[in-house]
Amino acid sequence: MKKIVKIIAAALAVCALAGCGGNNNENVDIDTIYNGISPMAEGTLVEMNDNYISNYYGIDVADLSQYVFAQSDDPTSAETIIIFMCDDSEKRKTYVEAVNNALDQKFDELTNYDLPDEAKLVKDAKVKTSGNLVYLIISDNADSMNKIVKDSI
Amino acid sequence: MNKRANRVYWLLFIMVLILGVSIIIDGIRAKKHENDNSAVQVIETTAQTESTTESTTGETTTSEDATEGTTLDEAAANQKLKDFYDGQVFVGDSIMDGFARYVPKTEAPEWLNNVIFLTKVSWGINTALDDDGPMYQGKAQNVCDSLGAIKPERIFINLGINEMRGLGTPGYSIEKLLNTYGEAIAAIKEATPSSKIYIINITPCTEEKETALFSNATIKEFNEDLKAQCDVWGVEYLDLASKFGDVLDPELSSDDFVHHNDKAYSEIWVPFFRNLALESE
Repeated sequence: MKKIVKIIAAALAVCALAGCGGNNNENVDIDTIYNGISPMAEGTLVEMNDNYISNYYGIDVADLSQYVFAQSDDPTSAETIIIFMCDDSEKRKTYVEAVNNALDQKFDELTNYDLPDEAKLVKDAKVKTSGNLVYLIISDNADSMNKIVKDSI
Repeated sequence: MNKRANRVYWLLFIMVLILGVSIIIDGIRAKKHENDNSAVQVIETTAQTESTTESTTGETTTSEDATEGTTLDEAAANQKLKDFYDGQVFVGDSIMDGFARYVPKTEAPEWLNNVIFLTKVSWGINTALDDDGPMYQGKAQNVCDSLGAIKPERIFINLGINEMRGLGTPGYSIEKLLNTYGEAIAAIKEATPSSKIYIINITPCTEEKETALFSNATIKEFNEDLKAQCDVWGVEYLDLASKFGDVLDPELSSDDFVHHNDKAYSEIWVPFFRNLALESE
């Protein structure tokens, strides 16, 4: 009897501490977040298509439950908004690495192009994760945008 | 025994309490989130209503166009364009990268949707074979490795604008640059021997940004030599530059210098590549 009570107590403790179901962002809608922050972008953002996402980032969108990969339509601008949800932790790890590689690439490109202000925006940006959600914002307004994303999850 | 049992029951009670509190907090957060979303959704719904009104007008035009213009020939042409470009690779610097950013836009033709872009801003002929080339499959890698993995039927290359600035300086010549270009082409051919390679010439810069070291005269001279060299390399030379004229019209430029805007991509690039495919055997 005592053992059973202990097991139930332990199970309840794990459940309570894990927030009952974990941080899987079930109530988060990426389109809503993107529509909320994209008007804060300085330039014109273009949402890249699945073919581009696959070839550039190596990300199979079939692995993502929601996503948006947007960047400025001007190649000399750093402005980028990437938000995606991936439930598979191994794939998520690989995809985060790919986005970090893209971040490094963008920094090199803008540094070599002698665009120090844009390169600094890239240097200051970080790929963030919260449970199954991954996001990266590069923008003059990144602080405000990041806060909105954080408050939405 | 009773003491121990009491401890366990207290522990259980505390756990149930924590669980209860966490469920209540989760509930409050979910409710708050729902409210936030509905507020944004109200705004979105308003925007959608407006766009529906616009699209109603648009649809009328579209259906008229469809009645007048949609023929079997057009369908066949679109299929030919799709077959010609699906899975093919466009390689280049920031000018090509701008095209990659134009393609996902709604106004761009669908037959470009499955093109693979291997582009890198500030890239050029001299760095074409560097190991940290354009991103492909999540990694910056040598373009030959990427092309070797893709093995496309066709490769379209546009490089060189970033080297035009230095051509007037001592020890730096068109001949030397073309030799380096030739080495890059040879390496690409080795990586994917069955691919047909198209070299797109260098497009002009705006007149007001011309300098002694960066001029349309230099670009023109380079293009003439490039054309001759393409025969030697056994690749096809594509004259996109002449579609822009002798100088780049600032109305076609995103930076009043060398980069192209949507007007340039839609009015010059798209018809150019459309004609190329439709005129092919």
